[in-house]
Amino acid sequence: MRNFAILKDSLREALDSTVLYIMLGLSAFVVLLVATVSFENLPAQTTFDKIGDGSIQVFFDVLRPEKADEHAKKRLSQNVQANLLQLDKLRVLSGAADSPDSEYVVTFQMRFSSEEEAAEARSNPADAVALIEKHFKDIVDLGLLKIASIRLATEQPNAEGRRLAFDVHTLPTSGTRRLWCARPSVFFGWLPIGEENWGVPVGFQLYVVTNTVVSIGSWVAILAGVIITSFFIPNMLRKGTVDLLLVKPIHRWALLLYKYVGGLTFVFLNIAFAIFGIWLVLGLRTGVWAHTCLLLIPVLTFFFGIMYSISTLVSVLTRSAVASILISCGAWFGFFLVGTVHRLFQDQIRVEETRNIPMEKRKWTDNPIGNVASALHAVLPRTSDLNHLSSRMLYSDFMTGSLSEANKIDLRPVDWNESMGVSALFVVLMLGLACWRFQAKDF
Amino acid sequence: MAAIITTNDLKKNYRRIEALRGVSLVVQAGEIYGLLGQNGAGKTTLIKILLGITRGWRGQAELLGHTAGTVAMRRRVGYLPEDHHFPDYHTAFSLLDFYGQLLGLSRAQRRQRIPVELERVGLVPRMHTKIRGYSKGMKQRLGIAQALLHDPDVIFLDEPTDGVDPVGRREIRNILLELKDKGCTLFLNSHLLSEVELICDRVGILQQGRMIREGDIKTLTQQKGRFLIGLAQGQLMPLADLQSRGYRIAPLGERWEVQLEEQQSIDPVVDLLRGLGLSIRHLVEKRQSLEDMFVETVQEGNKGNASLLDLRERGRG
Repeated sequence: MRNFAILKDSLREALDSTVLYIMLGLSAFVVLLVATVSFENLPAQTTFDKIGDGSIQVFFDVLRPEKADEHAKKRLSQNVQANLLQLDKLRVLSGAADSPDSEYVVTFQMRFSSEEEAAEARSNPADAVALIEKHFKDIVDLGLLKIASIRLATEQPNAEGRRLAFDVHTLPTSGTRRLWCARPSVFFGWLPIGEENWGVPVGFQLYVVTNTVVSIGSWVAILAGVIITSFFIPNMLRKGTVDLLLVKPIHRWALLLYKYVGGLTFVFLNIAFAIFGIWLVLGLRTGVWAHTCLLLIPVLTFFFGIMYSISTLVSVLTRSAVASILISCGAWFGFFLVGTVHRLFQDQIRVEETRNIPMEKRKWTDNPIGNVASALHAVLPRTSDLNHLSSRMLYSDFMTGSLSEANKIDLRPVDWNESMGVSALFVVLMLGLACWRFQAKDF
Repeated sequence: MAAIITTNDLKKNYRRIEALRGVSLVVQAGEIYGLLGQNGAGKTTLIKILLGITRGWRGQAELLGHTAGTVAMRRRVGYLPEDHHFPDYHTAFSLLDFYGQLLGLSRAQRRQRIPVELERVGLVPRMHTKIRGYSKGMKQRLGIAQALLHDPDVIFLDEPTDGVDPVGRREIRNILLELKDKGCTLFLNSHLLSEVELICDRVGILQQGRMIREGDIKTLTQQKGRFLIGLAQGQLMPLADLQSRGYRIAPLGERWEVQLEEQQSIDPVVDLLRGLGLSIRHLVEKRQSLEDMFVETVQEGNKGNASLLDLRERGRG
């Protein structure tokens, strides 16, 4: 009950601050703005056309370097072969026309390099079918579409000997909505964005929108959280206030830790309000329910928890809210700097290793600055990893469909156990020092 | 009577400053003890040590039979600090509810006790108003209420009537006397010596971290060997007779102050006056006010310190 009382008191203190209402107002504004974003599904023809020419796959492989190379090669081969697959026509087998939830038979024309090759494929289409299957493989693997069958079309509309028509029977999945090309607009369709034939899948658009909103929004929310909560502990430690708390039958460390948890709860509620709101309105507006996105709530709260642990220690040492804000923000910038420099060096070292550059010629490997950054990175909280994780979660929701899939294609694989462990240990160290000082301090 | 507060050779340094230099005192259950001293004498430090707010002390300090500062003991203690600052986002009711929870009072106990205590200090009409709108006197009353909320066995009050108007002061004084009647032990720090004189059983005077005088008020304010004598109207004091017998006598208003030397008694004076057929209308042993006693004691203490300083300086020289 005592602990709950301190949490409740922190919340009361936060509610007394007008900044909280400004933050909630801003969050509500962003949620409402996101709610006005509409996606008008484009005809099925557009999506299958983009799948046929391979341009849609690029969006889903944006973080896969090896796939990017493959796409580049494919594009080169397309220049030689014209279009490998060209949409001819499509018909709806079941469901509404132009809906991502419908079942289609899509006829693609495949162009061969010679009439002989086309004639051979006509008599034995297995190789050509395998080629089409390969073309659809990534989309199918990511669960964005199911292919029921691929067969040589009974009608061959073009008499030209170098082209053959194939019927691809597609079945919708829960991910097909993400694949579907749609035209975005804001303010409930009042302000359309992009061309009418906007060949960008809705999943990618949602990823860009949410990643932008969450990146900026979380930065603002955490900064505002750091500022508001920086007053909590100095206010508690004010002469005449702290005395009244210290004479209560509660341990000093418990008093401090629950005050910390109180600040954390306040920011958690704020973040939860914003993220849940975005998740809800996007789900209602687009039908894409980005469940992994909800994991951003604990991730961003943990990020704030790192900053607030620093603020708590500084507050106990100085009793100054201004010092807490400045040092917390300075530390935030420091972590960002260390993370960025470390990442830069690691990427360059990987390039040097891949290119087998001799050790004596390597600039990035065993570089003193890189070594310092690595040493600092080893002991400091990994806030850049948390940013990375946030982005990956959104990517998994709107692009790959699952976090494990997203992790598979991660350009910068992170040892999450180590990353979270180091960050959590840092928080424990900061709070431990704060409690130790608070425990021994005279008031 | 059991000792509620015991300190023995209690010392506390703030870096190079010696705040307490071996303070020893005992406060018995049910007593109202007043701790007097100039600013910086160490009064608040002593209270804070007993309550566990200040640490790193040496010597012995016990409260309610426990070493000072333990968590368990704090359940039975009420405290009103000097210069208290209540979080102004609370109302009187919510603040007491918060403190009540920290003190481990159940919801039912809080619902029952909070209005009672606020009623006692006259804050019920404003109990749901934010504290930031309170006057200094109201905050002081709230401070008293929070110190009494959990019905503690011992209450420490640091300047309890600070900022309170005379009517409020009397009300607070009555509350304290009521608590004393209930058997509660009170430890009071105050500069308002008239208040202390009215309610305290015993006082101690701290000066520069030392307890320089302690005792019950009656004894401390008593002036040994000084009597006031008044004769019936129109009668003359036989000054020459008294002075010839070695008594020092001087007029004090309409009366006379007789100052006795060691081994002198007032009885021969009375016998002489009666023998001369004079009517004694007034005879009382003279007392000082607490304030006079305090100022005198502090001045003597300062002289003592100055001489001590002199001796030290000479020693160094």
